[in-house]
Amino acid sequence: MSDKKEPKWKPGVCIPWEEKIKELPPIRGDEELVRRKWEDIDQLAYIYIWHCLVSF
Amino acid sequence: MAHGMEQLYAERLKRYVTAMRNEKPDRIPIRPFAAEFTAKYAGYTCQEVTHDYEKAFAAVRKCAADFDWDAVVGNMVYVWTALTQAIGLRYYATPGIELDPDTGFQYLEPSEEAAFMRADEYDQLIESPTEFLFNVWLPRVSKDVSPMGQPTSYRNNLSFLKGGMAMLSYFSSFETQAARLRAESGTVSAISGILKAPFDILADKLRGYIGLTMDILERPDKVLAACEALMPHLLHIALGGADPEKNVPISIWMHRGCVPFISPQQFNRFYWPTLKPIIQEIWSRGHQVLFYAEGDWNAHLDSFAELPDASIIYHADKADPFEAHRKIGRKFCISGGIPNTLLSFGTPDEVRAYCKKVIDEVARDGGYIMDAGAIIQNDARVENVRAMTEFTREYGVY
Repeated sequence: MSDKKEPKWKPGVCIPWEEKIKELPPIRGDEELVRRKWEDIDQLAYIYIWHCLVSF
Repeated sequence: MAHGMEQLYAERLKRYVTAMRNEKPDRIPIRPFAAEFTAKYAGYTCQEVTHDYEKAFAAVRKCAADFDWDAVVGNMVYVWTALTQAIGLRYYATPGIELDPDTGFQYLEPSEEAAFMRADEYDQLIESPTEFLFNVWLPRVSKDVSPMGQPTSYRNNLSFLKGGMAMLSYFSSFETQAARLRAESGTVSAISGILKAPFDILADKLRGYIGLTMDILERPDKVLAACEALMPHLLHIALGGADPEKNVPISIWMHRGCVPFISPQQFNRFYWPTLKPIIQEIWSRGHQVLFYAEGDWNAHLDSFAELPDASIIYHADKADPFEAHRKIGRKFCISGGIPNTLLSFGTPDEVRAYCKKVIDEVARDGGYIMDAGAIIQNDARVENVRAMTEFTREYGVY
C-alpha cells in the first residue's frame, strides 16, 4: 500500500498531537506522557466514528 | 477452567485452524454463523437478542453447548440496536419498534436523492475521511447529531456520550463472552476483527448503491480516489480488532462489489485494486481474512487466486461451492455452501444428502469448514441445523 497518497492525518488520529501541543503552555514535566495519553484517548474517538461506519 | 474443557478447546482450535490453513484436520470443523436462529432455539424473540446483547450472548452459549459446535461468533446478531438508538442512527429498522418483535433487524438504504454523501462531496471525503465522517456523515445518519455550523443541542451532546460509552461496553463484553464460551463449552470464537472493502463502504453507507453506479460512470477518478483514501483507515480498523495470537481470521463482509451489481471491468478497476493490497498487508502481518462473500462471487475467483496461498478463507453463500473448490481449493480453505433455503424448507434427510455431497466433493482433502451459505436466521428449522451438525460430526471424519 506504499504507492498510495499519504492521508492528511494518519489512521488512528482525530486531532494530531502536533496540533494539540500548540494550544498548551510549555510543558514543565514529562511531555512524552502527555503526548502518549492524548493519542491513546484520541484513538478512542477515531475507533468510535470508524466503527459507526464499518460495524453499525 | 476444567481441564477437560480446556483440552476440548485446544482440540477444536487445532481442528479449526488446520482447516483454515487449507490442511487436513482430524475431522471437518463445524462453525455455523448462527444469528437469529440462536434466539429461536434459546427461547428469545428477535427483539430480545437484538436489543439486549446479554441475551444474545446467552443464546449463543446455549447453542454452542447444546450443538457442540467447534467455533461460533460471540454474537452474530451483531448490530446491538440499543446502541444504534443511543446514537440516533436512521438506517436501521429495529425488531419490536418498527418491526414485528420476531423479525430480524433491517438496514434501510436511503433514496438516491437522500444519500448520506452527495456526489459533489468526494473531494471532502478524499481530503480527510475522518473529518468528513464526523462533520458531514454523522449529522446526516443520526437524528440527534447537529450539523456543523448549526446550534448544538442536548440531544447532540448525549448522542456522543451515550454512543461512546455504549460502544465501549459492548466491545469490551466480547472478551468475557469468548472466555465463557471457552470455559463453559470449549468453543472457539470464530473471528476477530472486521473489514469491509472501500467500494462496499461507499455503496453501503455513503453514496448508496444507485448513486455509486452513476458515479463510476460520471466521475470514475473520484470514486477510485475515494476508495484509495479509505484504504489505510479500513486496514487500521481491521488490524485493531485482529486476534493477537493470529489463530482466527479477520472477517470481511462482502456486499455489492461483484458481478452482476457491477461489471467485471468495474470490479477490476475499482473493487479489487483497492481491496487486494489491504488483504496482502494483513497477510504480511500474519492474519488470515475470511471472505464472507455474500451473494455469488464466483465470477471473481481468478482475482482471488492472485492472493498468497492460505491468506484467505473463501466462504460460499449462493456461490457454487463445487466450482469454488475446483478453481481455488488448492490455495484456500472453503467454508459454507449449504443453502439456507434447504435449512428453512428442506427435510433433515435432504440436508444430510446435501452435506454428504459437499463433504465428498469439497472437503475430501481437508480445507473445508461446515456452515450454511449465509448467516442462519430464525427461519431455519432446528431439526435441519441439528442434521447438518450431527451428520458432519459422524461423516466428516478423516
